[in-house]
Amino acid sequence: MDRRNEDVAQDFLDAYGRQDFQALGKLLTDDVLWHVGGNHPLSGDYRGRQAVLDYFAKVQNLTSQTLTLDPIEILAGGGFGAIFLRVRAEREGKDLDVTMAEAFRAEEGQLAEFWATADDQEAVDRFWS
Amino acid sequence: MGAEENRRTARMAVESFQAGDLGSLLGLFSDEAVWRAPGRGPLAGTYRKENLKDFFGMLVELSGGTARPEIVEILTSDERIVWFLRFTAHRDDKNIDVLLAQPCRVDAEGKIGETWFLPSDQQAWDLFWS
Repeated sequence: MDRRNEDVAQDFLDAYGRQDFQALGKLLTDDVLWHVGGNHPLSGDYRGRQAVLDYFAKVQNLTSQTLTLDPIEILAGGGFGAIFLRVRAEREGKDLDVTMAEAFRAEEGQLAEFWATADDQEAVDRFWS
Repeated sequence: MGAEENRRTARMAVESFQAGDLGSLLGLFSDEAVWRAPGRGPLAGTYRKENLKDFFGMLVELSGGTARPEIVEILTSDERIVWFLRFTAHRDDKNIDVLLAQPCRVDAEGKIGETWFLPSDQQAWDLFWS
């Protein structure tokens, strides 16, 4: 199987873990489309590199830099990939601990489209609301 | 189940829908299956094994049988399937042509468990079916 997008996924998780926004920016296409599932204030579509980076920064600010991603499994193919991961964060005395299913489309080593959704979406909605 | 068996299941799911064989399609799901369809249209909601046929039935009925998923890419591991589908349908004078991502868990017996049905353009998807 063509697994060339495994590196994209791994590089993304590493850069996110370091909160290295320069590296994260390089992993996004100019017109990246980022879908954040659920029904909470951060839900919706973010379009373009800067909008997505701003979203990442907002998430970290709102959680006082406590949000961590622990990959469970990465699936990768030629044009697409997926990351299943455990997300933990704290915010205003609330704890988040959910499994996320994230799917992506890549173009030449950059994330072009990304879908993020949680197994317990209601817990995510409560956390951010 | 191994990644290859799960790949066969993934293909069979799409082919069963294309063939209109909802019985075979539903047989691929675990009794504990949860199908999560986000959005605001008539198809949005959380479906369980007992009402999953309603979701597929609506796709077929509302589109006059034109709803058609095509496999763009399938990724599988021992425990998971992720479909990337191009989904087309028409209704009256409306057309839809969207990419969908669908991650899912597969149980120890190789049955489809929890899954999320995620159109690239959720708004267009909701409008089309409304």
